[in-house]
Amino acid sequence: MFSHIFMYNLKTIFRNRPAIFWTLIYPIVLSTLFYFAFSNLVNAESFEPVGIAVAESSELAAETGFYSALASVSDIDGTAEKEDIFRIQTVSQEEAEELLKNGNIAAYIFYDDGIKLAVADSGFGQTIAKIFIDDYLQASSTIHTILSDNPQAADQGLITDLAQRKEYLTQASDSASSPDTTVIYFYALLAMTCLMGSTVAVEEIIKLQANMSPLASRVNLVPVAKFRVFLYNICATILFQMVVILLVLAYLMFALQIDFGAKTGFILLTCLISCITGVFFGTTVSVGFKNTGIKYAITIGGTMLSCFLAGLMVVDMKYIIQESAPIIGYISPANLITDAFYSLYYYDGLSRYFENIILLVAYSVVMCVVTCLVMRRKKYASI
Amino acid sequence: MEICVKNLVKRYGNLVALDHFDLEINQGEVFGLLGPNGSGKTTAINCILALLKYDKGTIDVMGKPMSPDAYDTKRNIGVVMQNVAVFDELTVRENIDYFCGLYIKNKKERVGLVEEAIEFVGLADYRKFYPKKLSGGLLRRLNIACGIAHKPKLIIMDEPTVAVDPQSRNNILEGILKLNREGATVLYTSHYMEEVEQICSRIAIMDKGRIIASGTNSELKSLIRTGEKISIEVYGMDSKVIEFFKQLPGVNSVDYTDNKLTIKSQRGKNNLVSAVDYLKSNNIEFSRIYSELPTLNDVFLEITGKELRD
Repeated sequence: MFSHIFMYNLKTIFRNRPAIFWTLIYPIVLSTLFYFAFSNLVNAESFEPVGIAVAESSELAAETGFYSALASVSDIDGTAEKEDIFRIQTVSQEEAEELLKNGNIAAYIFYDDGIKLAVADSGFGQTIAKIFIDDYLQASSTIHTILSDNPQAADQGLITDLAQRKEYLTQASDSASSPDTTVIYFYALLAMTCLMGSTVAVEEIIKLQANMSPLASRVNLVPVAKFRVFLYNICATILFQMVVILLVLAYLMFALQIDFGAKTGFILLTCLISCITGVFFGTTVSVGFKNTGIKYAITIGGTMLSCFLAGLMVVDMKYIIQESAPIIGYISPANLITDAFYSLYYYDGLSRYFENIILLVAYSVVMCVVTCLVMRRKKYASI
Repeated sequence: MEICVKNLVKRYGNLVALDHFDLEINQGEVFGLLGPNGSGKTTAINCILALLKYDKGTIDVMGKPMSPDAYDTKRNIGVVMQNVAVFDELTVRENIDYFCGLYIKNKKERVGLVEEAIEFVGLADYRKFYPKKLSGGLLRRLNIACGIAHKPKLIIMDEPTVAVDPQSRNNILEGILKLNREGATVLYTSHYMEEVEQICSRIAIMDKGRIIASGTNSELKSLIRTGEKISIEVYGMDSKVIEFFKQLPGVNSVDYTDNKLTIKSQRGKNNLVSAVDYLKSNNIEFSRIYSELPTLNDVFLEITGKELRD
């Protein structure tokens, strides 16, 4: 009997086009939009080496120290590295002027009674080039002054000392994953996908409450306990929702290359628990209200509100809630789901993760019990 | 006895939907429950099927008290609801198989029963169709197939022919008689008196939540005074003519509305020949004249003072 009811219910859900749209297509479309929006954001913030030119001259060629300093922070061989500041072209004075005029470079370096910088206008690249040259000139001037007073200083490691930069701030991370605030949006999106299973669950209850539809009346007349039919149908709903979430997750991870960290097993566990929470949220709302429109309005509205508070639309909302109303963060299932993903991504420890998971499991159990208690009703006052 | 309902009372607030309703249906019968819309037929069925709570009374089905947990009894009941109750996402065959599978565990047996049900309702060419692709009539046939595929001993049909084209309606009615011949007891509700007259061996007429008359077709008709009803379609009618017909022997009533003169006579009195003679001798032109035996509508009209379809 289980396989009969389970398989047929699975068929009805997978053939339900609105359910497929809201649970699968909509999150995929939304994640694609997120991806393009955030990739532009990241591109705008990422550092590109500043294109500059060096105007060849015999005087400049004599400045070997400058050349080696410049080469250490530049992409000379066309293989850009993370720490490269400049992309250098070595050209004649005329060519350098032409490149600057055409906007192909931000500035060019030339020699005219010292190392000079020519720019056409002001900007980010020009400022960096100016700071680099000023820094070099200041350091070389300091070395010259010290050596003229104390020639032995060179042997005492003066050059090495001056070349060193001491950082007084260090960046610490609890995880091997690189920090990326945009992943919060994708966590919230995954939370939304899990909770959207509530809309499918609403339909499942409508199919079982005799006062809701003729189909439910017929189901109530079969020689199988309603609770059993409910249980088998819910198993199918959770499986459907889990398949959907795996497809969305695969799309995010493999097509959009979103990094969810390395704890795949825990990610899948989070998805499963979240699907169950979403499904029982839908069943609870569905047994609590008779009007079909209200059932859907509350489940979709509740899901979207919960996701909004978890940072789906504005990532800062998650932090605002955490700061000013943390209790909402503990109540909102979407917040717990995003927080579970967040803690998996950023923390090596699992205590915060399990705190979220335990709360989700507790809510699911409570909602399941409420659903079962209401579903116990066998006869209706009116149909 | 397949169904025994005693003293059933069901209220919706101040409205009494079933007012000390009694019903007894014997094995092998096709029992018709006839009544206008809102008379309480569907409420009675929902109470019998243990879907609805009721205020008073007892309901026994197949000799056992009916309850939502009476699975052994439910296993032998097939229900065809007034509204089509099928899954839009399943094909014709899948819908029948799903519902049949809730009654029959053996897959091999089920396959045979599903095919039989498909043939029975004439949906063999539509096996792979989704309900949305079916016409109203075909959808009703699917609804019936879902209710009877498991070969129940008791079939309850609540207005299965509403909004069905005449051809499909005839198919459905013939099917019901076939099921009965195969051994099923049928409780059939309708507000179409012709259908009930056509297929039911016993009939109960309901009004305002009560059974106002019950018996065989002829027993019901014998309850009323009217024996013959003559209808004359004629344009314009003099009051003298109406007076003449009123004077004919055994006439109960004469009514002229919508260019139709209706003369109702007592049982055993036949006035058709006298009426034709009078019209001819007085050169009164008429388009049609015919005589009918009383219908269930006449029974209902005489008992309640209103038409069955009011």
